[in-house]
Amino acid sequence: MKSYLYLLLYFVALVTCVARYRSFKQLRYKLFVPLLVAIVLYEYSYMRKWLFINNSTLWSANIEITMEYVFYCFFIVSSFRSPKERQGFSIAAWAIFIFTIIDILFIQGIARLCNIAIVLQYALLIVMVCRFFYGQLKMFDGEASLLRHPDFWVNTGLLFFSLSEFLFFSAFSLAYTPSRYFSILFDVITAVANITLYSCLIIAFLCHPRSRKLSLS
Amino acid sequence: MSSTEQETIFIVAAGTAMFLLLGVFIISFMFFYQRKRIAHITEQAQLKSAFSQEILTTQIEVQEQTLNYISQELHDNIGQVLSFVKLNLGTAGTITDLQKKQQKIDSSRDLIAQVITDLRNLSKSLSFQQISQYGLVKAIEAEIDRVNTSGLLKIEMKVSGEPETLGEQRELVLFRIFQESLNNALKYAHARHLTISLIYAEESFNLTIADDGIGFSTEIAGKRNGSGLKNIESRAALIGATATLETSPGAGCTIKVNLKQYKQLQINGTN
Repeated sequence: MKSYLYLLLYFVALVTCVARYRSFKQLRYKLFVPLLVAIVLYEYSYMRKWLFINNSTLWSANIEITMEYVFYCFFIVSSFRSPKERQGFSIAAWAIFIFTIIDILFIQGIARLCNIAIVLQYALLIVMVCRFFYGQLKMFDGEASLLRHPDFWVNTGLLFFSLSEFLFFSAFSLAYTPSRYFSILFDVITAVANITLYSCLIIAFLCHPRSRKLSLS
Repeated sequence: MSSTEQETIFIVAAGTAMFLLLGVFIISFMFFYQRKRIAHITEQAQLKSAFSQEILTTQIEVQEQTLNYISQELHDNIGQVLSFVKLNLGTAGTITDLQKKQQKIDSSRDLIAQVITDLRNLSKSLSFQQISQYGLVKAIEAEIDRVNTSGLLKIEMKVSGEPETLGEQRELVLFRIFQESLNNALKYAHARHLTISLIYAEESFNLTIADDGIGFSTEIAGKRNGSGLKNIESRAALIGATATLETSPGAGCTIKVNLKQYKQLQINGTN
């Protein structure tokens, strides 16, 4: 039931994204389409239990989380105006990406979740989102409302998503123990994180004005 | 489940809740800040618009006053003298005595020479060139010489500090303030002496104009002759200066104009 709801949420986000695709002027928004397709396919495969290897899907979760991390890093970094900032955050993002591969291959192993790397990924995303907000504070010119700003909604969703999952992944070692409370916590946190992120993404897509076809007749 | 695990789960749950609250705070702050900023920008635009309006009004008033002054000067002085010359020349035709006729013609020539001098003085006192060419101190000195020669008023000037340019437009405004005060002293105050003091200090410039006239109550002045005094205040405000008036019946009148931090201001602008 829970997986169906998530799948529905991702699907709605994908449909909204496709519907507004023509109004996207920036590449970072256009790339949401392949990302959301991948997420929908991942969730569907998870529901169908196609991803289970040795009774675990953690290997695929590693790939899915890292893919999201790479995408959102690219998304936020490309919104920065200062080349110095872009360069600095790109270096940090690449460093954490390389550490993620090391974590998967050599520290935790493929069968376990690379939670050390994930915590670092979320920490960097939180810092980048806060930097984005700080930049926005300096740019307010009294014209456009924040509520009509697509980047604001994406970053807000990302901030809540990262903040809610950060501590959960810090304590992920508990997941390998038979703890009922931990699975409840997992359900609650995942629900809060996903609902917030995807609702914000849907709003961000809707913030783009609908494109109109011009006719000469 | 062990108590350590329970504690960890509790910490994760509480910590996540705190983090989410932090997120809510950040987003709320963004909205709050934007609203404040928009209010600030709107207020600034309104103030700017009001200031522009005030400047426009003052400019129109100043222009009106200058035209009035020219009109009055042409009517009361030049017009009168030329009428007298016309009369003189008209009567000269009927005089048969050549010596008397010559006297009339000479007197008419003197009057015309006076008119030419008056016109030149009027032109000089209204012209912007005098200020841009010689500066504020020299322009005031020339005006003082003109008035002292007429014998209407005895004017003294004191300059303290090292005179330096305040910017053409500022100097012109200060010169017009001086002319306005001089006009008031001659027309309304019935003053015999006028003291002008210019103080060039490190951080500020002060212009003080004090007369020994009849003075007046500032409340009455506000009702009766307020526009001239208001003009001085408005003109001072145009260049970022403040004008104050000290007077009471029988105690003369002192006008002080204070321009602070003039060295930091753009030298040729008014702001």
